[in-house]
Amino acid sequence: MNIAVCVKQIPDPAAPWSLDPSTHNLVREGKLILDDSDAYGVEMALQLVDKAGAGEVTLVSMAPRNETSGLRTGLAMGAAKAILVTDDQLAGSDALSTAKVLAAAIATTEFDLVIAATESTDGYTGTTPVQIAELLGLPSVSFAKKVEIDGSVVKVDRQTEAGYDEVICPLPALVTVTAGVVEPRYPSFKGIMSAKSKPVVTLSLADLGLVGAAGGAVAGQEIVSVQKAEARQAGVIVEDDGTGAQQLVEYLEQLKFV
Amino acid sequence: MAREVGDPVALDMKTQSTNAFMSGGYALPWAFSPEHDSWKSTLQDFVASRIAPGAAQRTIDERFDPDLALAVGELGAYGLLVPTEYGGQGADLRSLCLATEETAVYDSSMAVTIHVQAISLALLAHLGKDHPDLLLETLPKAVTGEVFISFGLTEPTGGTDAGHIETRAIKQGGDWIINGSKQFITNSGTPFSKYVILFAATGEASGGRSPISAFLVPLDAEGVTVGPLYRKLGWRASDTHPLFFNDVRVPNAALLGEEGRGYAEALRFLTWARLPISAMSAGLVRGCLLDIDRFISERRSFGKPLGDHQAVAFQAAEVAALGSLARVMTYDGAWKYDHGHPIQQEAATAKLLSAEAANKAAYIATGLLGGYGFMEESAATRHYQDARILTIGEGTPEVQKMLIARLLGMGRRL
Repeated sequence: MNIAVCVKQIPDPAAPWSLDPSTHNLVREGKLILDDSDAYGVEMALQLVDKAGAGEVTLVSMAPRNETSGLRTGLAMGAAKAILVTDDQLAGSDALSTAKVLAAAIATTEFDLVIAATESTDGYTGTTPVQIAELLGLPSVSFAKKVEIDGSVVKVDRQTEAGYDEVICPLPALVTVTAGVVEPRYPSFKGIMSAKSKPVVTLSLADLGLVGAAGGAVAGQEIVSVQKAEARQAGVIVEDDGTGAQQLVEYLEQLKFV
Repeated sequence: MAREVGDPVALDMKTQSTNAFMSGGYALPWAFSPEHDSWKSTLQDFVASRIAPGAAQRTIDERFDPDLALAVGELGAYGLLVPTEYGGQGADLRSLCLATEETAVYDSSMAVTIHVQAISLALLAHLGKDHPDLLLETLPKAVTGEVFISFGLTEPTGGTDAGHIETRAIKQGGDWIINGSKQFITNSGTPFSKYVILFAATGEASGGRSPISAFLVPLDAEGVTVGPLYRKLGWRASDTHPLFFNDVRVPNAALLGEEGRGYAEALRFLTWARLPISAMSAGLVRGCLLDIDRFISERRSFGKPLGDHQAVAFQAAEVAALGSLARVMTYDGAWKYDHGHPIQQEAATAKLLSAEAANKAAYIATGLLGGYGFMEESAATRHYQDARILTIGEGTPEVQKMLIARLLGMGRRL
């Protein structure tokens, strides 16, 4: 069982952040870290490979400046190797460009399953994984809260608003996992040290044959402006003069909640 | 912690402060490699999600948590200084200091649990290097935390005069018969506690003192009694007991190192052990600063946040400066040790200044929190309780000053 896991390296959410005033994109200078959302996918993949008894986990990422700090975290958790696509032309990529790049990178390695998070912490488009599946010609199952491999199929409990669907999907496939799927392990000291020597293959757009087909120059999406979210308005205060319950019911009826 | 669909990503401790100093302490880029940074980040995540949430209640309940202790073992903290051939990490001292520092930000009880297990395992590997079979039998499981090995030096009549040892081991045939007692022995009564590195007088006194040897004694050996849990002011969630030895028979193979040289060799080897304590002090000061920051940001007085009053902000600044001092002194010493420099002066100075800084910081923190700083559930109160022992364990301030004075060439009689 070989599994490719899409991981994003993002600016530390705990550090001060800023937007580029001209492009409105997140400034990605400085050290990047593994997106917390992706730790669940890495853990899920490690557990599936462990259960299968053979195979390995490959991390696939796209990041500026040959950044590998976040990848090292995933390698320290137990992934065997990583593929990093880094290229100045990728600055300003939209979700589709990112999907093209990641799909092409995944295609360079052997895989039975691709795992991704439902969405990234810094972008939150949530569209990249299914685009990767489409580009690779794979079936995709989103919002997995439980994943099992059974022979040539993957069985997924897919989270819905009402509960969950049980989905059986032939392999190879792409699955996006929620944060409820598994509890990520902490990289052990041994894992951190062994990650130093694990291979990270670095590829450019040219290596993937995507020059002119992906990157900021061909992005079909443009952020035209960014506005601060409106401050939350003060709520309605119901003073109970004996009719409090009635007032609450009327308010909820007004909102069509009851 | 599991995150449900649509919930914000759990950032744990990182959400508590976006200030790099608050979350990581005084920056020392020269002291650390990228792997140290990764280890620190792992420790911070682990401490925030696993150790911090129950720290107050464990302290109040005086409860050692075996599951938590095992999880720390999985992380690799106990065997940091154990050679890799015995299952250890073969790491450097800075890595151990990072472990005790980051843990002590929230829980000094767990920090000292790590410290004692780590120094005991390192000492066993050192003293027992001529007994690879013994090390292979004991260390791999001790590294994971399945087995705890404690350090049995202090006696009821000892303390600073640690060389005054009344516990005696007498050779009888091919075995040793041990009689005596030890006190304040950390990690000696947990479900995992299996051995103690015991220091006992062997042979006749020459020049006033008997030679002291080290033994690895199984705690389930006939004649060993683990006394009741001590009720302590601080480190209340750590496990500390007295040990009693009544005609305990151990084979000669239990003798660690050269007969009569165990204590001297342990003292020589463990000079560095003051630095993880210094690191705990640095962590405790940061814990004080975090609790101060939380309180003075939320609390308002005279129409503005408490922290906007200069008299309050200056006290917080002093705590920050104390933490910086402790951190610089700790990692200066640890860096030098890791690079083969002598550290007698550094270890004594760091231990002296950091422990006193921790006590001062905890005093300020409890004062700034007012009545809340007197309540047992408050982090500042816990740090205040835990700070006191930092000037006592691993040598009092007087011992550190004595060592420093000797290094200055003063008073050979000290």
